[in-house]
Amino acid sequence: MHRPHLARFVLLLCGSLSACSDDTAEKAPAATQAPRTASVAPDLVDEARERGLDYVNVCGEPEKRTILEANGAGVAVLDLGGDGDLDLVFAQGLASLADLTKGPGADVEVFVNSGDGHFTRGKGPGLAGWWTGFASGDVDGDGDEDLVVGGFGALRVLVQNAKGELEVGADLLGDAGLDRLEPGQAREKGHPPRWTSSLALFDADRDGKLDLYVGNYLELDPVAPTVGQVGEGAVALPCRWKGYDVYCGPQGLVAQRDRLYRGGGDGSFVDATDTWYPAQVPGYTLGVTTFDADQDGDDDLYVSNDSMPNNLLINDGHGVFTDHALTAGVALSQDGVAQAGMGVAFGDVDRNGQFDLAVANFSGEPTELYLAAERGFNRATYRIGLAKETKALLKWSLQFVDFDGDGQLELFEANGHTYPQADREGTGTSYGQAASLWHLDLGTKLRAVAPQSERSILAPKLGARGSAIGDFDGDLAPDLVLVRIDGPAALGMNRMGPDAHRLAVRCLGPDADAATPNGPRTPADGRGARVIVVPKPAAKTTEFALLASAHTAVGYQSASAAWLYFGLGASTDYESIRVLWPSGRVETLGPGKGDRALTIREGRGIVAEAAKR
Amino acid sequence: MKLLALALLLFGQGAELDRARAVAALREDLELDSPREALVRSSPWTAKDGAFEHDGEVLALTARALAATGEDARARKLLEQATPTDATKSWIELERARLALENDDLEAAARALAGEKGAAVRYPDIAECWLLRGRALARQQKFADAAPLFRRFLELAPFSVDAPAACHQLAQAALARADDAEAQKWFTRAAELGTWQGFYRARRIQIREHPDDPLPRVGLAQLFLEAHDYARAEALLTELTATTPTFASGWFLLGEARRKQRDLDGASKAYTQALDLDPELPFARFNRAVIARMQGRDVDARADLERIVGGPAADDERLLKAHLELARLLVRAGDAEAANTRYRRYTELGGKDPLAEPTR
Repeated sequence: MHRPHLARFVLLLCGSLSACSDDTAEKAPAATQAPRTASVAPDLVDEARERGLDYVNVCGEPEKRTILEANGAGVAVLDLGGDGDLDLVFAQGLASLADLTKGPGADVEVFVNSGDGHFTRGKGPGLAGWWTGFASGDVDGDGDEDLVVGGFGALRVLVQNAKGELEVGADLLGDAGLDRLEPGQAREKGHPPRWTSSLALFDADRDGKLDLYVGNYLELDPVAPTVGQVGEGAVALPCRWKGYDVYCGPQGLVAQRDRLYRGGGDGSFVDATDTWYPAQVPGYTLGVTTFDADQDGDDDLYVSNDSMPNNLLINDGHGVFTDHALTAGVALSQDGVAQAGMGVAFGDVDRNGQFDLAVANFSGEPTELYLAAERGFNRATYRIGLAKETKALLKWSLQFVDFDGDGQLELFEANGHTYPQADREGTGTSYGQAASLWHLDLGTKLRAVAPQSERSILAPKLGARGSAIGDFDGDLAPDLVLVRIDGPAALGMNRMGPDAHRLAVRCLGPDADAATPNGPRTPADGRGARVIVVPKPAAKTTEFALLASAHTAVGYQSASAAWLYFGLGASTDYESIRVLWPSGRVETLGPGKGDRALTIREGRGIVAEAAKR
Repeated sequence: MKLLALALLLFGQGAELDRARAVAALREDLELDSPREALVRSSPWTAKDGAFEHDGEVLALTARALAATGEDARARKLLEQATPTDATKSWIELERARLALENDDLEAAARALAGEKGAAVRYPDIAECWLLRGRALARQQKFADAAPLFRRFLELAPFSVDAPAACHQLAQAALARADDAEAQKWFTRAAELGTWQGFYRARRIQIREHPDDPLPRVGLAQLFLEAHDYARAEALLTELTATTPTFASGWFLLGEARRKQRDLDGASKAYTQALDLDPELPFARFNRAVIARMQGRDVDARADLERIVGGPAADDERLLKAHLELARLLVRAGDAEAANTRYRRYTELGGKDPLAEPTR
């Protein structure tokens, strides 16, 4: 949030569906450029400290006696203040489980972008809790982005006001009794609160109002947590891993039901779980993402569960979901075993016009890569060598991003073990783990991107959890913010593919008077729009198309920017941009110049265009 | 000479028994995610002049334990330097292929496990060879080629810890050829076996945690009974009743394991032991009565059945047949009125079989 740069956001009033050329945009003042590091090596360089991002995560005690203290926090990337740059909101926990009952609780932490990727602390909404994850979207249809934040015993709407600040809105556990937990209030044992992990805002019933999927984890009693063993007497099972005593869970603890809320379009939500997800088998949910898995025009859900089968929830077009994960081949491991599903990501990895999936798992299990096929998904995990690369790691947030701008998605993975005992002898793994990045050339084995310096976010062997994507310095190259557990956040500024041409696209729903009167509607923030970009073939390059979808719930407990980032490779221009709106309308724009940030409104084409800085 | 031959034979059997126990212990360590325990156990065995220095299977399992603790290089070295006997060298080859599979070298693994001259696998007598080659092919999405291998694996090792995996792979193969009904059948079987394996794993952990408590062993025996593995159930329960002779449920289940193997005398004795310890075990009493009837000991049978129908379990629908069996005994004894009364009670409780005994 900062004062708008006129050169960056020039409203185009041509109203045409074809891209308009705009000389003003090409003359963006150099003064707005972010200072670059001396290094030009292709890397994601952690510049958190010099850019003013001083968030430090707090997540219980270092011994990690309970599972709550191991799961860490997420982050949201969104535009506060409508100034066109991307700001950050971090979830925050407490120093110990005892602090939940002792108080005070933590607020979420806001960092405001000055416009060039430097941050200052902003005013928080004044919450008090142990916060875990975010969903972002325009929940009240007023044109700006809002948040829903989940926590241990809390689920709140955070509405962005006219000043670009977050205000506490609806309490979605308002009548949930002991499912709520207020830090500082006395609590008796035997009442585990509702524990939200990952969330997603999307339009389940295609009415143009955002609905909410809330992934819930498990029943942990904050007053008398299960420690040492689950069960009683001779039939108890010790909480042990590789011969070492560790915290208990998830197995042996009770999984909580996920929830689906119908959005009222005004920031209110009503629990519709029973009607929209009637055949739910509760899992230990950790990851949620939304995309059109069956290509029927509505958004489906993929839910990853810890040590339980994952869910592929197919939407019937009216918001009623049925799980097809088993027959689609995305529920279990290759051997039919439920894995410890963590973060999830989707993207068109093989550029065949269908969305593929990646699922992070526990150490000893691979990160799974599922490629969409004619029937369900085909597992590519082993064929490309992803199992070997990931088996020793404990994986959390995942992102499919074209960091180097060559038109091929890379896979980013936040790693870090849950058990401090991982550093002890004979575990085959370690507590601190470096983040990973791979080029995915599906014809061959994947290629790891090596850190180019110790400042790379891929270098330090620390523990990471949430991550989110956004272009913080306006160079159109997607950057990455990484939430590390019990430590400072990293801000990976993208120095990959410096010569590549790029395009950033933001989709918006139609003007109120242009919305389709009957039938499906596109939400105000364009949520669910699918965008196909065809770069203009450059010399000696093959033609390809890039598919992305306007969703922010990717990774783990985090919300990425609403912008879609396309790499055009050597192509300076794009041939066409095709937008498939949730309303059913299809618009084709172009040709046009690359290295632009384009805002496309349904029915009006490109309404704003800014050049790369 | 004969004595020497006998001594050698006995020694050989003892050594083989020790070897089987060693392999089972190592496998259990690995299955229960305790590779460090496996390494502690195998260290003296695989050392120079150790009992299993040249045993390919023990060496292979040791290498697997090393890999599970992150010591891939040492695992490879162990396999490379191994000097296994001819009889056990196949295990070394299998473990090499497993390591290749773990490192996503799918084609190398499939190649190493392929048989000569068109044979499906290199070591057809070893169930794991079928599984590993099937897995290598399935990971390359070659489900049609992999499916027969998984089927054979299941024939050879229906209750292996990997049996649910094989069923799941068969489901995936069925899906790949769009046979959804077949896929569902295998998914269901995989889930059933997976649940069983989950309990099996839990019981073994509980036994390790509480070696002197009979409860987990009884649970394990029940699992073997559910899996129709009566011999293993009997062996486990025989050991249990020897160490904990006052545990009535152990005797009852021993009776069950013997009855399922048609050892009626042995079963009856075990039920009697159970009832001596706990006279209120109605199922032990009923089963003893049924055996007594089968053996023509009607007086004994009647005594047990009368005690059941006069006791607290009289209306338990699982013991419905106690009323019928008693009614039939009463008919044979000529007490028609009492038989009719008893049979009426049987039908009131939902019984549908006729009073007349079926012709045998």
